[in-house]
Amino acid sequence: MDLLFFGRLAEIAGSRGGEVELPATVTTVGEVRAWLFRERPTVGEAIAAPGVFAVADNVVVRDDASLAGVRELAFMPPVSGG
Amino acid sequence: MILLSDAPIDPPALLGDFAARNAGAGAIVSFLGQVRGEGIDALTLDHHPSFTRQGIEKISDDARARFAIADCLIVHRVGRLVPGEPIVLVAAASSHRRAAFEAVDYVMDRLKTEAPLWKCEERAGGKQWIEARPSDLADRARWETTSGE
Repeated sequence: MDLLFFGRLAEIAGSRGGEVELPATVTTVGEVRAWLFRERPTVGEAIAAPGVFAVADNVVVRDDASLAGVRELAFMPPVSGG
Repeated sequence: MILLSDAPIDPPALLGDFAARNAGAGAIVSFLGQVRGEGIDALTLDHHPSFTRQGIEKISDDARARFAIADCLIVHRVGRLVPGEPIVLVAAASSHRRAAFEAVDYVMDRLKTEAPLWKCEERAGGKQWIEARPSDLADRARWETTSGE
């Protein structure tokens, strides 16, 4: 699965992100958040900030959403607008 | 038509094409936004190619459903821009001018608050990511209380 970051999250992560191998125990969006918090605390903390939302294959999803079949999971900060 | 471009946009050419495509329309209204100076050295817009496009398409679809317009053009720059560069071009074509004026106003208010874009301002003091401004959110709220017809 591709794990991507946008806006200031990409800056904090140091890159847009890319393909990741998630542990078998990580099966939901919320578990990705927790996994990131353990593996990359700075990034984990940044995506826990108010307003940061998750988008799975172009659909905004909640933390309890399953990752089954998801090709791309993106974390996005509150939008700036155009 | 929706266009996200990391290359400079050419408003006269885009408007010319839009007018030609809508030769039967009685009215074409357009808005061109440029990057403001105000101490900014540059502005970078981050975006997600498909999610951002999808968000802007929804705004265009809503405008077409809400106002009596025949066509809508939204062109948005992404990437790094300097003050004075065109950042957004919105145009609407309709039989009569009122619907086109209102549609462009509506599209801009929604773009300013909802478009999935992330702006980073570069100033002498450093870089800063910015969120939608309260005044933009107030402008957006106007459309909740008017019929738009």
